[in-house]
Amino acid sequence: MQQVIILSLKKYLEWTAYVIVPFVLAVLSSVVVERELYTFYGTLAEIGLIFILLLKPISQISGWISLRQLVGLRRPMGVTVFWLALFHGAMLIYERNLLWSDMMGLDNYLFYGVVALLGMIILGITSNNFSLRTLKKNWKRVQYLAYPVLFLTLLHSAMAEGEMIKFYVVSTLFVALKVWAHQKTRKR
Amino acid sequence: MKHYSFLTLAVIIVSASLCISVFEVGAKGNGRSSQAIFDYAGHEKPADWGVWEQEQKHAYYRSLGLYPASGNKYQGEFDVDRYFGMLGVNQPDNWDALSLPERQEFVRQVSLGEVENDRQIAEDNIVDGEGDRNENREGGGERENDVIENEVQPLQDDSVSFPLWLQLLLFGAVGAAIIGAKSLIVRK
Ligand code: HEM
Repeated sequence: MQQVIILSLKKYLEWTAYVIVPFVLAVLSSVVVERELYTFYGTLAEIGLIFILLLKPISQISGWISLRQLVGLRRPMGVTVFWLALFHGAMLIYERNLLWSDMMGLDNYLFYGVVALLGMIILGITSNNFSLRTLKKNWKRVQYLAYPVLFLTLLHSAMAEGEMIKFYVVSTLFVALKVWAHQKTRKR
Repeated sequence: MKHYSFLTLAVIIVSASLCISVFEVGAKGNGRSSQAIFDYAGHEKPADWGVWEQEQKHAYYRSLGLYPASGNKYQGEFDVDRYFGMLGVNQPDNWDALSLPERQEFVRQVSLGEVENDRQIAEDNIVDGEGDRNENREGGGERENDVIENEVQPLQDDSVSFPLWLQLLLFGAVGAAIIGAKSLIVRK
């Protein structure tokens, strides 16, 4: 029964990630030129990214079967987050008429957004079986990029909001859960 | 295996749009476009330009009589005829050959010379305001503000026209959605 639910969930998620999200974002963004909407994409992308990356340590620590099965659905979830982040960045560059020079500098939150998006693009491009075959062992290494992308995103959004607390809390939580999960899986 | 080649194609299309976007934004920016505008117009680029909001930058351009050459975006160019029209002089034939200090001197002299001109008031306001524009704008007399508002109307372009890179991105996303749908159907 649970297997059936997971399988249909997988189907819905794939339709969402590969069809609905890119289509809806493209149409919505070209019809509604509103900064708030594009900012909202970024917020959704960030929440999605945190969820995806916390899924594995939490499932390892808790041992819940259903969570562990969700771990297998991270690819379509990741692709959804990729589209949201892409449209967030691209539409804000357009709407705010940003130039490279506006986005550079270590004290500029946009810089961290750009680097995070670059990381996501690499992750997106390599999220297919072709890359998996070609990159072999290196594929796993490429996927580790998701961690710096998470920290860069947190930094970017915390700086954009002018409130660094989120960055510290979520990063610490993430590192703590990762360490905990690591120790737990090693003991077994 | 077949559907993965569809997905790969989708990824290639989107990546191609992305590359073009990056080049477009990069070529447009290069950090020199605002500098080019100020140099060509014979004005000093404000020292803290980099941290200004986009609206603030555009308002400042307009206050100098610098309007976009086409549409409502500057992109390294401005409407030269309109600029000299607002200065109330003809563009010197050798303008391109003048050095930056020579241009600045010319603009300064024009500002000082044409006292009778209504525009002059706006110009004065701007010259004074170089140091602290915001304070000046709020503190300036009613009349001067009126002049600025009457003289310097922002170019309003209500139709939304997306730049090429964004169009490609939007089409790329729709294309990816179509290909994604096809691959998901084929898989079954
Ligand atoms: C080219 C890349 C990017 C650009 C140019 C960009 C631009 C921006 C801008 C201008 C804001 C401030 C919006 C506002 O308050 O008006 C912002 C906020 C934000 N961005 Fe990005 N961003 C980029 C990449 C990303 C990525 C990859 C993510 C996450 C996956 C992201 C997540 C966020 C979040 C969560 C916020 C805070 C939203 C809020 O204030 O509630 N951004 N970004």
